[in-house]
Amino acid sequence: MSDADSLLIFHRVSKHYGSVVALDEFSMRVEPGRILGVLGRNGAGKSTMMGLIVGQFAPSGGTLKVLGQQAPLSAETRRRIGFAPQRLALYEALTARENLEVFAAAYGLFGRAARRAIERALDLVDLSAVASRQVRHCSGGMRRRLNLAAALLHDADLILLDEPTAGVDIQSREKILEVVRDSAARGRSVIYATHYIEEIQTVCDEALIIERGRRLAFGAVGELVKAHGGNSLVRYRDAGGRWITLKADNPRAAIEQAIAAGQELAHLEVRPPQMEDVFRNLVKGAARA
Amino acid sequence: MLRLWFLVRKDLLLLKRDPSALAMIVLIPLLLATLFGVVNSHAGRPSAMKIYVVDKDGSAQSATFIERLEKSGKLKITVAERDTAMQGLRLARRTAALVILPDFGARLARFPLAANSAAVELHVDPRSGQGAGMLIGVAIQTALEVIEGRFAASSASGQGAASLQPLEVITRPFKVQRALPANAFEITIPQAALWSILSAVAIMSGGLTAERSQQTLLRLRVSPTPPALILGARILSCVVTIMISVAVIMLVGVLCFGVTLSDPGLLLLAVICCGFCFAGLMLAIGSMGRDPGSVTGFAWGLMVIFALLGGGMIPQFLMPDWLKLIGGISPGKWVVLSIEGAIWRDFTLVEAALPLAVLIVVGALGTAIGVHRLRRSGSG
Repeated sequence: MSDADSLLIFHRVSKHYGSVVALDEFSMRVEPGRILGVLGRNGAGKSTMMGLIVGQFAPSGGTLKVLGQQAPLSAETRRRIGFAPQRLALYEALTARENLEVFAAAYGLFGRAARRAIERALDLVDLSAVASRQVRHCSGGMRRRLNLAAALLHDADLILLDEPTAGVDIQSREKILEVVRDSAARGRSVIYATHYIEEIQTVCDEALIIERGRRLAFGAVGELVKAHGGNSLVRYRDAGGRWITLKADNPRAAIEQAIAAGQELAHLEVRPPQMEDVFRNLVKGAARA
Repeated sequence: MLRLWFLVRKDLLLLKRDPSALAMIVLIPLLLATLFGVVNSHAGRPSAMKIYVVDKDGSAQSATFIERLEKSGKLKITVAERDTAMQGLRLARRTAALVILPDFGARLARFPLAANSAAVELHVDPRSGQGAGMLIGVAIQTALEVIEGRFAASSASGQGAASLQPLEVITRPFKVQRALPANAFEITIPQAALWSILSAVAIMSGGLTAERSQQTLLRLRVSPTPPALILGARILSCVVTIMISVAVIMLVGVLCFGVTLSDPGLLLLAVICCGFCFAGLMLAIGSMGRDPGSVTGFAWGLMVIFALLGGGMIPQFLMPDWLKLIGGISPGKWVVLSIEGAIWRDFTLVEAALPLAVLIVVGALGTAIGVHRLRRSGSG
């Protein structure tokens, strides 16, 4: 795929805040139509990366291309990006609909087109019933969904979501994840930064793990698990009632070996490697390095 | 334009839905204006009407007339030459000037047999209201007393009957070029306008910081809307808020407290310049921090200093010279001066140019600082 067709190209991109290095010679190429999960601890550089993509900051070094255009982005390219910041970027004293009217206008949507887009976005996140309610009177989950709706208003090609499920109830989280999946199914590209590792595994096609502004791993979720997830965990209770936990590259072989050794296996559990293991192993490794 | 409208509408809606902000911007300044206006009206009200008397007759009768006018207790008289009196009147140092015309004494002496009545000219500020009527009454009464005194001394003699009117008062309305306000509210209403502006700025600075910390500004910033339009809308909302709040205060001043606007056009220009000045300051202050609470607190502190130095609490003309000099650094001084210029100082456009220019320069500086800081922080 050519550079012009790529969704994102980071080539040795750095971002410094004075002496603090937020992103250090970071390189990555992301193709369109996928959900990329971005994982990292607080201060790892996730929000800086998001800020660079949406044009909040200019890179201190390197080359960044978004939707085929090198930063700084034109108004036309910015129109193709939807962004839900980490904070609830909403006006508390305005109603849900009034908030969306402001952001629709910012994206050049007025009149009938704006009304249609607003109704569609409210419907997507199940907020039509509370459209006339001021945000300050909405629950945390409703606010998160409205924050997402504002990013979906103008049907962008690239949707950036910075911790979209932070602090929400299970129902709202499920709804948000459903909307993300639907967006990808409609051919939209999603960049999804989160602390919730299980969300990466359930929603994302690809994952990026960053630590201290550096890329630790990037690739398809399954491949990352295979490459960095380590062994499966086999856990069982023996005849004496003790819990035994084994790390095994091949769980079947480990179980057969235990049976052959005369163990009585009660309550057998096998847990294959997860993204959580990938993250833990990589971050531990980086800390040791 | 539609984008600008939606962004400005958003700011105005946010203000409208904040009752405490509305109270700070409109109600409390009006309350202060009323309170200080009433206190000052009663504290400084003279018991006697201060007037000039010009004696063009120079007779014994006119001297007696002046003496008796003073003894009436209703007038405080300054005898002056005509030019001095007219100049003083023009500068509103006195409410009226009573000119005793030549032949006053002779005509009064011959009353009621003189062909013409003794005459005085009354030059009076039309806004003195019932003061002019009172003055005419006192003058006629005093003339009668002078005549009665003459009758008591000797009986009338002479021939021919003419005027039965002892005193002809020729009133001449006078266009006063005021150097002093007509009442205490003409001082306190501009002060209220200043407080209103300062409140609006403190609140809107906090609002801007809240937009930055809540990332709503970031959300707008990454949209296709040009950053200049986003910040321009912010400035425009501040100017509109200031214009509306000052208009409300002026309306109350005119309708309830007898404040007169000598030049409404100049007032509009002054308020626009004040709005621009403080919108620039709002941008500069709002860009200074990330915590809306501390930025609002800092803004209030700064605005109180501006108010104190600028005559928002004690009028500048009551301040010692050194404090007046220091007050020049406060944009508040120039706000009050430009508004007073359009209310009672009768500023010409040239005279208003200095305060208006200061306001524009401060506004431009504030805007430049604000834009620079917001750009640097990735918000502008």
